[in-house]
Amino acid sequence: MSVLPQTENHVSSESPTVASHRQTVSIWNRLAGYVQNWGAAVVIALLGLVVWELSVRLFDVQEWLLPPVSKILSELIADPPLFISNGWVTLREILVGFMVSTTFGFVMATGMFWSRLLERSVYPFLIASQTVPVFTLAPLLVIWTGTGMTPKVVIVVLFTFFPITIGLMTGLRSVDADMIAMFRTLGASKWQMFTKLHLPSALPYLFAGLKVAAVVSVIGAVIGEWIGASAGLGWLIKTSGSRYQTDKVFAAIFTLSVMASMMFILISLVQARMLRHYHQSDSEGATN
Amino acid sequence: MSQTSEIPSNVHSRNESSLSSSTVNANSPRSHPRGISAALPRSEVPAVSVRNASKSFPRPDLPPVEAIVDVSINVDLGEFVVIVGPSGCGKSTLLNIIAGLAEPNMGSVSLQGDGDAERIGRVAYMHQIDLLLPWRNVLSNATLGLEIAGIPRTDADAKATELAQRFGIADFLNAYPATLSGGMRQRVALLRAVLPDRDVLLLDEPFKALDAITRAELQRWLSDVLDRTNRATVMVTHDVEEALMLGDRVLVMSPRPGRILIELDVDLPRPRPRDVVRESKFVELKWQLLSALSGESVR
Repeated sequence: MSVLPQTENHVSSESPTVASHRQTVSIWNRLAGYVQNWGAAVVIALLGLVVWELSVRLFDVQEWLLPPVSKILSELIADPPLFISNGWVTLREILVGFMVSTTFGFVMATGMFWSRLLERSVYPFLIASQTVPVFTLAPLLVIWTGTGMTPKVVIVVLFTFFPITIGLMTGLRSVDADMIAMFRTLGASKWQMFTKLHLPSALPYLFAGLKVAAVVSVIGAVIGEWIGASAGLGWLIKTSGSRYQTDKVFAAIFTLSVMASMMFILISLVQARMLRHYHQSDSEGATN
Repeated sequence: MSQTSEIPSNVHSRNESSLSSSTVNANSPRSHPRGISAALPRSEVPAVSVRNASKSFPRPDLPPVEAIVDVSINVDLGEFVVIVGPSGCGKSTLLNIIAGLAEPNMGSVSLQGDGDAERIGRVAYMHQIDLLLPWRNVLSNATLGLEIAGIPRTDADAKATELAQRFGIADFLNAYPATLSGGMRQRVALLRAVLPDRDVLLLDEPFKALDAITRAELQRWLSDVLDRTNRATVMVTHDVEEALMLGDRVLVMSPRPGRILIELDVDLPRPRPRDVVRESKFVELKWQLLSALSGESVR
């Protein structure tokens, strides 16, 4: 899509020919990029659904064992408010947990960047927290915080703060030594170096962590709802499952995965926008 | 440039044998100079003064690496000094010491005669690689030093825009580094280095990463841009022609541990056109430098 100016046009590059014409990439170019990147996956997904539908009908599988795709879709269409209202409950738990995690991760990573002592005293516990199976904590959380929104948010936080904190911390630490030397010769203070060098350098790592967090946050919310809830997609799956309403279970799973994908895509879009100048040959927003 | 007329010979030998070895292709082992300070007595205080500096780096379970040994250099304001040496001879170490990024184990460094003052942040330093920040456009990369110094944005931008004209990057101020060629990026890096108006400018093989054509172009450009300024410049390179195209004075460094072998005054008039390389004076100087370099590498 773009020329690499460093390897070509050396003579002409000294005259104003290698212009910044890439700065305004049209929406159509971007869409074409998405189709190129996601087209194959979409086709495979559609094929899979068709095979599912046909084989269920062909082999005459019982509906409560595995409903056909059409039945799941009609379940979704028949009662959209059911999925929207329960989806909203789950989404709210995820979003609140996500915000708490991001704040916590930011404070932690920044603190550990500035203080080796804090890092030495806190880091082992961050690791240890990930070795505890969160599922086993869920009953305790219900005992301590009830069956409201709080235990779900806590579980989402337990799942998501780790990738965010580690991502940001790694990013802050992985600044090129020559860059640091350059900032020092310009007379930069440590704070100036943090805001103008370390933090911008850490953004790609932070986004990598946020993407992982977005996906696992959904798992966290569902686990929270599994233990004790009166609404939410996890609750819907659990109650429908115990009533052998398999089509409803699948419809709720579908809603969940759409939600997780949307969060992932949203973060990717923000990332592509914020990091659009970071790489020499990035094809404008089409990076993962 | 000013002092060249007062000096009869352009070669200041660091020891007696290096003069002979510069005319005869010396392949016999010879004694190392003991680093007699070759600085000429000058009335004013030099902008940069390195006195008998040595630097070694410790290694675990091994003897320390001696980067430079007993190096002495004086550079005056308005003077362009080039240090030539083989790769890994401690040239970058020397620049790091002048910049205040490192301290010598022995010896001393002073700027404007002030040996006790902090050097970091007072010396402009341009590295081999451009080290541009990819998330900033050309203008805000160039003004980084001014921004760090707390100069208001509008003043900084005005100053950079004015100089950008002379640097040949005025049309690229809004472009991002990823869209620029290597030569352009080096121009931006130099602009960033000189904008804070320091008295001393260090250039660490600034054109190393470039191809021959761009390199020659930027050498001409660099002497055009810098001739009009009153600052002390120290450039490090392993390219003998580049040294003679740009320098008022050339120092030859030995392979690691780096010592100064000889010192040449380049009394070629400025501006130096491209075909200066064919002049007999240039050829003679080049031969002296190459002899000093190869004589040392054979030892």
